[in-house]
Amino acid sequence: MTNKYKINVNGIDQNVEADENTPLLYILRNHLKLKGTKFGCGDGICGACTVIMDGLPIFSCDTPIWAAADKEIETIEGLSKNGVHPLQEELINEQAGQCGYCLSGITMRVKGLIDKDPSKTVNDIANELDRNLCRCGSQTRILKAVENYLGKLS
Amino acid sequence: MNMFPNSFDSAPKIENWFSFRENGTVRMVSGKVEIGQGINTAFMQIAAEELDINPERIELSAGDTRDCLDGGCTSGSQSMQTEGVSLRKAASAARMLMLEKAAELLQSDINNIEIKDGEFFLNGSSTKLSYWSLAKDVKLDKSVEKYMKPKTKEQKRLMGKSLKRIDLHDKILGKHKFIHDLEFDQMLHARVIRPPSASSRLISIDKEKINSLPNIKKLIVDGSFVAVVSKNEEDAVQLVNKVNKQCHWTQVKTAITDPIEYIRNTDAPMTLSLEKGNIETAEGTNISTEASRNFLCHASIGPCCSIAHWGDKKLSVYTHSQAPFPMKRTLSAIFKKPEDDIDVQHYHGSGCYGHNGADDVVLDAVLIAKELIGHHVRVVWSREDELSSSPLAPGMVTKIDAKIGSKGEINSFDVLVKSPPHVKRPAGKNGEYLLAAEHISSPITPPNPIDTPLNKGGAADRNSVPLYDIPNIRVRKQVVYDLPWRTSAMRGLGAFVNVYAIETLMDDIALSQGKDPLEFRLSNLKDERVIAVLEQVGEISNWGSNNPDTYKGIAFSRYKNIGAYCALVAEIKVDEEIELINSWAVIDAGEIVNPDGIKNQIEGGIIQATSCTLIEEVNFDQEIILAKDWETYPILKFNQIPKIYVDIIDRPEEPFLGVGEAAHGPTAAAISNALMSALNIRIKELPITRDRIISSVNG
Ligand code: FES
Ligand code: FES
Repeated sequence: MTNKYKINVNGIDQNVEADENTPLLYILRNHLKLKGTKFGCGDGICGACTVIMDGLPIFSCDTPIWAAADKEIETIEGLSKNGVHPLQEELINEQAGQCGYCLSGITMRVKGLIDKDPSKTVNDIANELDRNLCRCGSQTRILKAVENYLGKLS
Repeated sequence: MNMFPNSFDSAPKIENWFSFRENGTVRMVSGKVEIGQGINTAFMQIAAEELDINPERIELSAGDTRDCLDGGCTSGSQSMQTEGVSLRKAASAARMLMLEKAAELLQSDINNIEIKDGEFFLNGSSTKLSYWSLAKDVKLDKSVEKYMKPKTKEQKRLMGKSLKRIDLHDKILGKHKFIHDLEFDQMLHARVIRPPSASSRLISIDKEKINSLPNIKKLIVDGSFVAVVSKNEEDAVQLVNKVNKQCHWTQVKTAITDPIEYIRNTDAPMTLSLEKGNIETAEGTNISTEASRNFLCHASIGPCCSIAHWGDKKLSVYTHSQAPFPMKRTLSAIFKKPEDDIDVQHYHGSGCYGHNGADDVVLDAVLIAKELIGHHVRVVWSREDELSSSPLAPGMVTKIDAKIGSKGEINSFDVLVKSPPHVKRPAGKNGEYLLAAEHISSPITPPNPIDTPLNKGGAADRNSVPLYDIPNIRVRKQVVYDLPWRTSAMRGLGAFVNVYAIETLMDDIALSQGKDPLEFRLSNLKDERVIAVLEQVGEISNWGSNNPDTYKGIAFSRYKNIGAYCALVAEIKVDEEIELINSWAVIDAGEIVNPDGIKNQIEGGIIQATSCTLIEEVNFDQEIILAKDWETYPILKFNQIPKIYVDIIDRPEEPFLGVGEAAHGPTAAAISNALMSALNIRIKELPITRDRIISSVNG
């Protein structure tokens, strides 16, 4: 059933009209034209679609719009709203990526996890990234960047 | 027109490659496309070096058939070896031509003029002349070969520098526009409903029921090609299952229960790939191996995607294909449309590791767009399609019989490779090998492709010839054409299994003589460059000393026997499963353009190869491919990643060598050799799963 929803994305209130079961991913990409969040599987297993909702990393592909209504969403576009985010700076320094398709989801999960608990270690993060896949094999560089970021926080 | 830019036969002039603009930029045209490997950055670095400019001044165009060079297909780790060299020559020619003009205007000798970031300096002082001020007056319609004069080793200042990837900044910020992110006015979204297995076909479809479904814009049925179109992406996705419920497909049974066993027992004709010395007369004790690997998926994180627009006259296609120009010729052949009326534009896709479904999804999009003239139609494959509709990397079996003489010398290697085809690239052909081409009402039947001969790099038999000093070598292959699944090129092709077979056998021979695997290899080698990478990897990995509970294995290959050299040591721990802890690699890729770019490729290669070695395999139920999601086809996860150390030997006087596929075979073999040293078992069938280890220990 089509309904009206209000969501706050990267600090801006947005009104959208969509079927209640429309995945948040398509709301972001197609209704709001925020293309930084990617489709990978639609099953909640690859993490390409990861965004932060009310402070927690979630899979936007299996989060229907009704469940996101009135929530605060942060996407990769929000991260660099005020210049390059320090985590992204570390990723750039490490040249952490090949095709780069997986990066937005991974970045958002790492950001969400560390914001919530800055005492996490790089091993904790590696374990919690088990549903964020990278086929090109950029994991060593990504983890190095995470380690550098954690080092600067402490 | 089919151009081969590396030969300058069809792109002979400087202007075919470069043009200077008054605003201080240079347009550079490349035939090779970015597929996640960082090739654009390497190319810009080469050109900036020869032109003596800041690389940021270069605007690179690649893979647009409207105004770029036809570089054929970007594959086989060849871009640096072919187009990298051509670009260097073309850039040097542009520089010389401009210098000549500047010298004439300044009435000076060329040797007194220096170029700094595109500006000309005479005896150290500024002249106000630059590439940009001369842009209008100097015609670049001169022959590259006449003017080219690449820099000498001493003159270079950018080579060997780790410039940052030009595309990565925006990709990290989420701002890069991938093919998936293109938007057009009134764009429609389509999804294809596939037959459940390779040879099953549509029996009937309830069009009436389907057309009454909500949100449907159009149903397209052409033979067994079924597609559904909607205004919204989410609706198109929703419709797939509903449409599929109204389709009845033939069910195909096959007698093949174990595809690898089937390949092993094939009676396909045997052809000779290479013969050196005389295998028949070689004597000694026999040591042999029979290595195999199951079928694999490309498994890109972002599924294949294409957008097509069939206008009044023009057909425009947006693709992440490795082969935009050949694709244009293929579309022209299929739709009987003049090539001039077809534009193909390349956009970056998710990582590409070989011939995946990128070309197939183009045909999907065009078949649908043809029925919706004037609309942009976007097709994105589902996760299931990405895994099970893309061509698979074929399963393979490689058998080697070696004869060892009384002094431990290797007298012969007799190699037999059995494999389904590795090269079914459709682009440039008449439509054969494209997925939907087999489903439409007048299907284009795929002929059996020729397996690339060894002197062109080989396919099934790629890297089947050991580089060790062995007097008698024979390589034969059997190409298995009678399996139902589409198979084609994935990173390394046959090299993965062939290197695995050779390098695990080398260890078995060494151990049978009580020799150290590294020492044994070195004593059977003459090539200095091979010896150098092996010795260095021994050093950096502290070969010979093990930590308690960890075990090391070593392996080597030179990709295609003509590409980059890679020696690798793997260190593992074995508990319930194998855990790869450390991996050291030493690479010799000739002259190094961008060390970090090479490291990035090698690290990625090691991680992907580890995944293929320990986890990945496609399972089948009859003809049906069971790899449908990340649970039925898992890959390596963040917490299973080893520490990786890569050293590069720079050889500035040697030609560039491609590295993209260099680490695959050595990674698999080094892990297996480490397992041998840990548990004294040899797993011959890849992947090396827990079950295989247990049954090997027990058996
Ligand atoms: S697209 Fe959401 S987890 Fe894969
Ligand atoms: S960089 Fe390509 S999937 Fe991660």
